[in-house]
Amino acid sequence: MDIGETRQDGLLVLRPVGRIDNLTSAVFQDRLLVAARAGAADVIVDFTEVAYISSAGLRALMAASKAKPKERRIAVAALNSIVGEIFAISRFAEVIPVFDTVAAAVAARDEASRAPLPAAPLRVHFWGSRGSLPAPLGAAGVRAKLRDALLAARGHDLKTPEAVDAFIDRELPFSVGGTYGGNTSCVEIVTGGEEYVLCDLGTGVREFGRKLLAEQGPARKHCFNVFLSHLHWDHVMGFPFFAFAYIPGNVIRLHGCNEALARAIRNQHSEPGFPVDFASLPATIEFVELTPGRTYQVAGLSVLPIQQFHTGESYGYRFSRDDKTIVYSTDCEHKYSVLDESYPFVHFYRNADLLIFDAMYSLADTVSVKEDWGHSSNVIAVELAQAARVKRLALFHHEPVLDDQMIEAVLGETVRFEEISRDGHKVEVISAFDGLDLTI
Amino acid sequence: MKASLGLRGDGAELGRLLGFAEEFARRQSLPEAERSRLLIILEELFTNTVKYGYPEGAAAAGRIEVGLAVTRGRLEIHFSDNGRPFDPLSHTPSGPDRPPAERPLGGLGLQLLRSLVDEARYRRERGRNCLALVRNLGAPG
Repeated sequence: MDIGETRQDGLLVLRPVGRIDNLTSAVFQDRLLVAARAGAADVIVDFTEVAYISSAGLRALMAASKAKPKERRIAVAALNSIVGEIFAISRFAEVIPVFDTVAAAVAARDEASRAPLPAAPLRVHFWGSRGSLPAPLGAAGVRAKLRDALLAARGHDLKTPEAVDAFIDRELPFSVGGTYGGNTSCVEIVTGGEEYVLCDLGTGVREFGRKLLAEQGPARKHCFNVFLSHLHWDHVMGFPFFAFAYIPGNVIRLHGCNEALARAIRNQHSEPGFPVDFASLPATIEFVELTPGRTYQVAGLSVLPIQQFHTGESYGYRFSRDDKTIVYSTDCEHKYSVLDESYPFVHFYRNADLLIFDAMYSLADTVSVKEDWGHSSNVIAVELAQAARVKRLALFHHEPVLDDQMIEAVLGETVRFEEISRDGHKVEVISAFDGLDLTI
Repeated sequence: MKASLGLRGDGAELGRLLGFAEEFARRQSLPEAERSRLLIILEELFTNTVKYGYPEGAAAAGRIEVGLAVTRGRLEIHFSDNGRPFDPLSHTPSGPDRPPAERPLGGLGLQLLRSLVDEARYRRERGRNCLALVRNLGAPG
């Protein structure tokens, strides 16, 4: 298909001629993707000469919209009545802005580049939620889930695929229909901005890197801001498998309060433990030492570190933007006699929209065998969250010996404990799992 | 006036199908917008059938029949294939309530198809999927 092209400062106008259908969409998609991936310009597709578009053409637009850098825009203009109808049916105007004329699209772009884009809501994505050690689901675990699911399915009408999906989503407990996952600590704070923010580099970071690479390809360069709670292996062991460390042009900033930060990362990334030496990594890797109690500005967030109770020192982070607050507080063995402002963590967790909290052990464990092992219990989690008026509490850093049913049982007990100990303020209690995505 | 065409279940046949429909639209003096809708409907039906209607690698041996007619201001489309039993009318696209950016794209073509026709009937008959679609053309052209 013939696609005209004009360029002016930071703007590319593509002008396809004819139909955008299954016969032509490959050419159309290639041109769009080249423009979108290059990221050098905003793209306007001028539909003046387009007779119609089929779903194949819509897919091409969607692919380009996903491939473009966040700060770049794609718009369409001058749709005829048929193209307008297809956009309306498919609700594509929600994906790509539509303008009456190219001039209107240019004007809107100029306007938008003067005013900062409204910030997308903060999100938190859990890539790894286990403590201590990765805990993959084994064959016996899968079989047990399958067996439970089939037993539960007896007597249900499951003739259509839709009925099966509804049954899985509504009837099965998460421990049967899903899994809490087995990757170790890695949590992304999704700001909607250009730079990425991660807490810890457990094995979950490998999944994060793979997904980003698959979505955006190796050519796009990124900046990653990592905040390390501490340097114990489960919180750093994913880094040697983080793909972007091996691609030149990427910047990885490792923030932490432990003075051994750089040494620990370098040692892990060297013989005899790992074949690739840290010094040979093509990405730019920077170490940023933070001081607890001081507030830092990173990727549009205010970040405040605090020192915690854990062998070898661990640190929590309080992230804030506007009126939203997320606290990442793992690997801390809380010890207090009175829960008021005199206990620093009540202040540190105060009014958080989300508190990600290491509740690795049951209360029975923490007061007996595992005392001083450096972790807290679900009961302490609730008490602290209530005292600090936290909105949502995510139980995190699950003990690797717990299977999905046990984690679910802990969650159930914790929810009940929160209900009976509640003093006016309700804390929503959830259990983190690999893949959980929360809007704050 | 009626016209019909037989096609192999091969993506490369799409050009022939669209050419056939264009010729039909020209002879019926269909308005341009109606011609475009007809071409979109046929493309979505055909590509969906070729992509998903046959077992892996078996589509090229598939036999697809298309019949077009205009009677009393109604455009009738008959589409049949010898693929797996499949009723595109009852198929609900995955996640219809979610915004399109979060939706898998598989059901998009069928969604367009359903919105562009006024009447639709599906039958499974002698090993074939038979789809009869009607679009009201408004004022007779």
